[in-house]
Amino acid sequence: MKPLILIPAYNESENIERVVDNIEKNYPQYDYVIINDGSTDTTRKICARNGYNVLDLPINVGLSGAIKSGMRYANYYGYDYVVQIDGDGQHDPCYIEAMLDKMKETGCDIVIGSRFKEKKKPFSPRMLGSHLISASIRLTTGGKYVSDVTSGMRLFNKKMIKRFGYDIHYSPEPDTLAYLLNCNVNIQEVQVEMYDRVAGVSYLDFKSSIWYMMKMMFSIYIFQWVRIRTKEGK
Amino acid sequence: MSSTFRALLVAASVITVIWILRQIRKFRVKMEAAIYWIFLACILLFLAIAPEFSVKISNLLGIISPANLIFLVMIFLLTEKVFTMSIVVSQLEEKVSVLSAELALRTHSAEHQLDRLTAGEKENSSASSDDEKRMRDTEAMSAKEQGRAEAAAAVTGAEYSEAQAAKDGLKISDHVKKREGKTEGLGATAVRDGENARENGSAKRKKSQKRDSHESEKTNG
Repeated sequence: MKPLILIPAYNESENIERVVDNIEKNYPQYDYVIINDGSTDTTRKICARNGYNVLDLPINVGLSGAIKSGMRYANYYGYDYVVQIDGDGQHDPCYIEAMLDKMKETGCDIVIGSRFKEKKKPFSPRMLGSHLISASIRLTTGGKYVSDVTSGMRLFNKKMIKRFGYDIHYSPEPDTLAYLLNCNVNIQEVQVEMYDRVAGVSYLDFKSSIWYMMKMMFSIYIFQWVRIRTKEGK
Repeated sequence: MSSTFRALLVAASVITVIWILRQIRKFRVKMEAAIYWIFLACILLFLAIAPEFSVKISNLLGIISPANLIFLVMIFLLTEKVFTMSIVVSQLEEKVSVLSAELALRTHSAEHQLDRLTAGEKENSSASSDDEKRMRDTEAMSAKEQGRAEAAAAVTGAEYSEAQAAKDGLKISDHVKKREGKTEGLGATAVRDGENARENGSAKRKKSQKRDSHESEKTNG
């Protein structure tokens, strides 16, 4: 029962040391790998200097490419579970155990660390998109509800590792969740707390947020709906 | 516009739309690219079903024949698409050349370090046949390189020479030391697991390669 912590990192020179030192010091029972997605700042040097376990991608392939590389790494070295954690320190590894327990007791395929499993999602402008996506997913999957669709803290089992690493069109975005739900993949959530980003810049600003929402709506209602579904056998 | 022409137009549009959707369904096109084609398919369908719309617009704009308007619109859309694809192709070419350079550089660097270390060890090594020092590169290597290097080294209870590492000025973190310690005891099983994983990985890759070549046969045939 070997879990692997996957840390995709793009230009996280200010955060990566904090994140990885925390894991090495306080959670040494977990193996981890940093996926350096062709960072243009000093992320690579920092990781080399500290001797972190890094998968150094030669070019920038984006988040979905980085996750795919990580999944192939996990499959290559025989890991059974993969936990995805952001490289900016928003996620706390203390919840990994709860996520693993949830997966064991329900036998599900994906566990999402959700900020809103027990708490209510606020109706602020920031969360509006999240409400819209959750509602769209519920509409197109026949009632399945995912509360935190953009959470980057996810736990995948072996079947999902193979899918995400070796099939195309598996991005870590909410539209893939809709597709997977329609493939009878079992997705559960556990309540977690997340920190706000301490340093560095998130990759979404207002204009790209609108574009992102449009892409997601298009994908959930048309693309993922039309896609051939490889159903999971039960 | 004669009714036969209209019927033909509708039939052609419907067939095109179905074909686009089928290709998207089979994963041949990424989601972002599919947006454009579904948009185009909708326009095609709309123009075929409601040609009065194009008549009205062309009268408004002072274009004599509605067909000219449709030509204009389609040419404009296609030109935009071709130009966008030019941009994408240029970026891909750049990425490929960077990828090739980085791959060559890292392989070269790894081989260079390996040669240096084995040359150094040959001078210092004791007579014991079980003693095989394993190189641990703190600069990141790709997983494939790492796996191949590990499997090829035929480790059976490897020891890592800290003195050697200190000489090379490499800094070893506790994490790597712990990993070394772990594999020390389970050297044989670790290699076996790695080789099994590699076989699984390459078997999967072979399977998907076979599938890809089969697919390309389907489209070329």
